[in-house]
Amino acid sequence: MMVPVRCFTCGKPVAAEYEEYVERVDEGEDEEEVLDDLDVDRYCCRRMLVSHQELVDTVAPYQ
Amino acid sequence: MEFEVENIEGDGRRAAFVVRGATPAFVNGVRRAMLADVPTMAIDTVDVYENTSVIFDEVLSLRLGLVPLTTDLEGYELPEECSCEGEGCTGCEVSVLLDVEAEDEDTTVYSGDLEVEDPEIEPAQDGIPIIDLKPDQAVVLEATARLGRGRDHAKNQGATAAAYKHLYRAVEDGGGGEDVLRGYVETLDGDVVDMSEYDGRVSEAFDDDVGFETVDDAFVFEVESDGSYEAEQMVSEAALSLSERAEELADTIAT
Repeated sequence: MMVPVRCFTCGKPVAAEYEEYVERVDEGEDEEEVLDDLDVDRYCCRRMLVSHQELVDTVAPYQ
Repeated sequence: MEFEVENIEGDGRRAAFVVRGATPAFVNGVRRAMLADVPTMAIDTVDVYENTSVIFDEVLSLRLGLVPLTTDLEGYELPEECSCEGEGCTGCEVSVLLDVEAEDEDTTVYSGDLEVEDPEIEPAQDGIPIIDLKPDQAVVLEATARLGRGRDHAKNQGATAAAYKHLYRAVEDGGGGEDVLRGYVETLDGDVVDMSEYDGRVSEAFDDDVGFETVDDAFVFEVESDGSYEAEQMVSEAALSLSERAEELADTIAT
């Protein structure tokens, strides 16, 4: 559904970076560089953004 | 116990420092206090008046709880230590309102839309997406934020990273041996350098015949906070809570 607010493992709030991450990756920037630039350093936090699938738009019609 | 603390770097949410003259048990106590003992403000109960979005009330409440709020330890008490004995009063809780309606276009509700009654308390970040609203959907709710400890709920864990390791020290005629070192290393002059400036390469930072050893009573701490405190304040609060608990123990033994 929505991006998790915090990293499951360490608790760093990562949700605020998600929109910028998606936007920049869609523009063709390298994921690794974007994550470094957003100060998402640890791999526990990086997987939160990399592996997230936004589903709200998919579910919305069935409400 | 006496020890020295020297700052290496610190900018708001992150800090790195060296503690000298301490024992592993003590620095580990500080680390654990940062994770579990330092109270932070977080939304604790939510009254949902209207929620026509695709997200369930429970999920919405969890997301609200995880939003870090700036914490004012002067102004608030932990509910169990408050004079109201946990009933809830202005000394231990603050009310937070959220009222957003998506009129005719998709709207995302952000943590910045939360209206906290007390101006001292606010979301540490404004850009955290809470919930997506489709046209004509709305959320109206009133929440209560309280202080809580990391040992009771992960949302109250103010330190997102709190780690320490022994300080490495360069020694003359050590015969090399290390090619790559990470973190902070004390040079022959006694300065502490960040090896990431040299990309970890020992040959660029030191002479060829330099070796390395760990300093038994010096620890390099790296701390990152979730925004409820500045990292520096977090460390002092942790040390304070540790000393309070030690005093409590001493009092209990004395009686």
